[in-house]
Parts: sequence; structure tokens; C-alpha cells
Amino acid sequence: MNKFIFGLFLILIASACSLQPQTPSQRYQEEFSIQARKERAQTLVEQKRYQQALSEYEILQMLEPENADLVNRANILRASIQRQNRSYKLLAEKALAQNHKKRARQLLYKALALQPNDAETLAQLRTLDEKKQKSIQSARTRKLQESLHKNEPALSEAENYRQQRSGNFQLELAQSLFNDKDWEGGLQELKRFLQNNPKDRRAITLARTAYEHLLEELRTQQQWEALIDTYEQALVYADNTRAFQYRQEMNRIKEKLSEAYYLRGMQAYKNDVDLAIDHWEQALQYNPRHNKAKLRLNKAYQIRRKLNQIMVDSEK
Amino acid sequence: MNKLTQLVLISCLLSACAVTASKPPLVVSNSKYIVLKSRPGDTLQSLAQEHLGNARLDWVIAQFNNIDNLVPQQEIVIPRHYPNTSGFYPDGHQVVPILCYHRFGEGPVKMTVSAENFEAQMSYLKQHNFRVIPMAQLVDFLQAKRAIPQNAVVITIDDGYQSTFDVAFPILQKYQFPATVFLYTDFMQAPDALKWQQISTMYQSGLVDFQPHSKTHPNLSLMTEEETQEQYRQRMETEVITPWESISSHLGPISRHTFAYPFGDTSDTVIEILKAEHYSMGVTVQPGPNAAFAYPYMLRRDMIFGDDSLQQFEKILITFEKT
Repeated sequence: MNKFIFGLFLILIASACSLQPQTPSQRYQEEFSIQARKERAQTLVEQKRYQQALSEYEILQMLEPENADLVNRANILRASIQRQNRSYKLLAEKALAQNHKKRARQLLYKALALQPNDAETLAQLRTLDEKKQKSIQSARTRKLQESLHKNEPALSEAENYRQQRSGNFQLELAQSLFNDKDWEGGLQELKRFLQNNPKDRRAITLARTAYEHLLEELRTQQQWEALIDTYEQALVYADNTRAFQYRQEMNRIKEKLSEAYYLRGMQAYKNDVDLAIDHWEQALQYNPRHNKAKLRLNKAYQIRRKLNQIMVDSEK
Repeated sequence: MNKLTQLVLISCLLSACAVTASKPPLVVSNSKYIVLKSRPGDTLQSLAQEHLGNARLDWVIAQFNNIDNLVPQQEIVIPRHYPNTSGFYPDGHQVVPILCYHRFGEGPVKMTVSAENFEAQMSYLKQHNFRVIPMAQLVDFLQAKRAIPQNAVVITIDDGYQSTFDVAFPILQKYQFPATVFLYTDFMQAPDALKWQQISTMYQSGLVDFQPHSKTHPNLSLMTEEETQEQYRQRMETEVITPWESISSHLGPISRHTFAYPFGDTSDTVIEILKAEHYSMGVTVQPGPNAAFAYPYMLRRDMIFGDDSLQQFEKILITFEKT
């Protein structure tokens, strides 16, 4: 009987032990979908949605505070974001120095996508917007003053607003910006006009001429990437003969660019695998059949995975 | 013996039950995030009220978790502040359309929007989940200090026609949409202008905000032939400062944030005066939406005309620009 009671006592102890309050981490594991979140973070990194991935890692660190791997991954990601952000900003500065505002804008957008709260980049974009808005206003003021001098009857308030929205003003503004050789600025206004008046022959001819000038300017400055973007835009308004020429020229430049990026990747490879990956990805974007870039990229992905693993293991 | 065994087993069961029942709902938090499982009866609004102190911040939870509503036991992350304050993503960036109305009701005037059309437009915004935010909320977005909902839209009404009170205000109240009315104060004497009592009623509702639109509604970008630069500057100061004094003398100390340029035109001199007078924004009628990097003293606005169809209205409502 004593044995029986002792047995029961043991069972009771054992059950009490199994019902010990869980540690917070155990409970988080039980309640929250930690594994799914880890997979999501990894997918976001692959999709280059780095800020969202970083948020996921920060949340995961709350749920698995003792997991050093998560801290490592978040730190690697932060460093990668900073590095890429810096390089986009440097490229944007170069583009601005060459007065290639559109290219600069695109690079600053990329920098902001990596660090959306970067006040410095926002300020740079704001300066560009200020210049653009002021140039529109000064063209408008000039026109209003001319009408005043000619004693033309003032427009009614409604007509004034309608004219600003209908785009006739944009067409005049585009012409005035082209006269100042601001091809990009003028084309921006012209495209807005063409959105509402897609068949306006005068505007289409104006767009073709402006693109010809802009392409020539970029060719002279050897702005090859901007040239590709501009060819793609110019194709929308080009006639058949021009479109054929543009496509041929684009293919030629894309092959050259692809090779240049491949070589940049080779140079970067020894010191910075991430940077090499960026270059080879870019090489494949310009020429998806660049086999050497493909091979190098696959190897670099493997190396990056291994490096990450080594970092994680060393932390452990 | 049997009794003893029973007693032991019962105590064992009871202790198990006690441990299970004592599990409180799990909430994990730090200075940036709160992670929890939703309880039956929780809504996005109730969670926003409970954890962010404002039910209207439900969009923060919806957007961050990419959901439209809640189900019980759903794992939810509540960021204490929405992390992406400028709305930039790899595929594009957030932009905010500012709608510009003038008059409401019946009439052949192009700038008069009928009650039916205004109602249809507001209903469209509601049905398609646009978030109408107050103009003042744009200030923080334009400095990337605080995020705004991804589908944010701003409503503004120029001049101060009485139909703002008679026609627009009841519809705005129905949908609980905030709006900013820009007054040009010399017009306040006209028979079809808003009365200060009506202005006060709208202001007290908390939905409608009043900001200046000049004193006499001239084109601020133009100097007259006989004017010197200094005289022009003085005239502009009067156009900027006087309407504000008039508005605040009637409504009390309210915050000034935005000046609407008559005809949408401005000049460097006017912008300098606005900065000196601590305005944060100025609005034109250049069509198009505004990104977080928009120059705040020349924000774009989209005019809404009386003969605009709903399809035209829809085209204006761009809240994301792909890059």
C-alpha cells in the first residue's frame, strides 16, 4: 500500500512538473507563427523589399530574444541597405552633376525605397521639385504678363483653371522649355498633354524632335543607361523607320552594358560578394543570355549563403 | 484507499485546470511593436483605440498586416508608428491627390458641382476605401515625420460660397470627411458668401478647417505696371496677413498651415512672406498628386468641375506612382 501511495505521489510530482508555467519563449513558440514569419522575412529579402524584411526580423527578435541568428541577419540586412543606399546616392550626385535630372530622380527613388525616412534624399528630391514647379510658374507668369501688355481680355476664373487642366498651357510650356533646351522638362509637360490628347499631331511631332535632341545629348555624354531608358520612351512616339533604328541601337548598347556590369562584378567579387551579385544581376537584366554572368551569379549566391551561415555559427 | 486515490487524482486535475485557466491573452511588446492574438469581438478600430490611443489609426494595423478586417485568434503586429513615413517602395511611391472645389448646387457655372455629383463623388471615395485626411495632416508627411494612409485624399474648397454650408457640409458630415475651406475675406460681404455664424458652426463640428485664400483674390504672381518691388511686397503682405487676422478674429486662435493662391499663381515674394508668417504649405492648381518630396509651397491640386463625369473624377484619384 505504501508503494502504491508512493507511486501516486510520483505521478503527482511528474504531472506538476509538466504543468510548470512556460517560459515566455516557449509560449511565443506555441502561440505565434514564428517559422512562417522567418520564411516571409527570407522571401522579402529575395524580393528586395528590405525595409519590410527588416521589420520582420525586428519582430522575430521580440519573439525569439535568445536567437543570435536573427540578430545577425538583421545586422547584415542593415549593412546591406546602408551600402546600397549610399551607392545610389553617389550615382544620383553624378547624374545631377551631368544635369541628367530624370536619371538622378530614379536613383534617389531607389535610395528612398531602401531607406524611406532618409531626410537628406527627400530634401534633394524636394529641391528638384521646387525648381520644376518654379519653372512652370515663371513660364505662366511670363505668359500672363504678355497678355496684360497686349491688353488681351482677362480669362474668367473658370477658363483660367480649365486651361491649366486641359493641357493647352502644358503644350505651350513644353515648347518654351524646349526653347531653353530643357528636353526632359519639356517632355514631361508634353507627355501630360498627350495623355489627354493622344492623337495631337503637333504634340507627337514635337515629342519626336525633342527625343532626338535628348538622345543625341545622352550619346555625347556617354550616358548609356539613361540612353536605354530614353530609347524605350522614344519608341512610343517613333515612326517605323526610327523605331527600327532605336531597337537596333538599344540591343547594341544593352550587350555592351551587360558586359561592362559583368566585368565590374568580377572586379568587386574578391572584396564584396553582395556588390558583385548586384552587378551580375544587372548584367543579366541587360542581357539574359550572358552565360558567364549566370554561372558567376549562381556561385556567388552559394557563397553568400555559406558566408551567412559562417557568421551565424561564429556567433553561436 | 480508494478515497485517497480519488483525492489525489482530483487535485491533480484541478491543478492542471488552474494552470490552463490562468493563461492570460499573450501580448508581446517593445518600443516599436506590439504582437498579439486578436480576441473575439476585436476590430481594427478597437485595437487601434486600445494600443495606439486613436480608433482612426486602424489603417496602421490594416496596412502593416496587409488585412482588411480581423478574425479571432489572428496574429497581429501593431507598429507604434508606421515605419515607412515617406511611402517609398521598390516598385513606386505614395502620392496624395488634393481635390479643389469651388461652388455647389444648381447652376450653369462650370465651377459649380451639383449636390448629386458631390454626393456621388464622396460615395465613390467611401466605397473604394479612400481615406480623406485633413490638409494639416499633410505637413508631417511632407517632412517624412509621420506616415499617412496609403489611399489618402485631401478635400479643399476655395472662396467661401454659402453653398459650402448648404450643400457640401451636410454631405461631408454624412461621410465624416474632413475638408479645408480657403476664404478670401473681402468676399465675406457678398450675398452668396458664407456667414461667420455658418463658418463657426462648420468649424465647431471638427470636420471643417478654415485657411486664407488672400484678401481680394488678385493674381499674386503679377506686379502692376506702376508698382515698385517694395510696393508689390507690401501689397502681398496685406493679401497674406489680413485674411488670417480676419479668420482668427472670428474663430479664435486656430492653427495656420496652408495658403491657397488665387488662380493657383504665386511668386518668390509671396512664398517668402508665407515662410516668414510660419505657413507650412501653399497650394496651386497645377494638376497632379503630391509625393512626400513635393515642394510644400507649391503643392498641386486637381480642380473638380461641374461637368466632370465620375470616370474623370476616378482618373484624378492616383495614390501610387510606379517607378
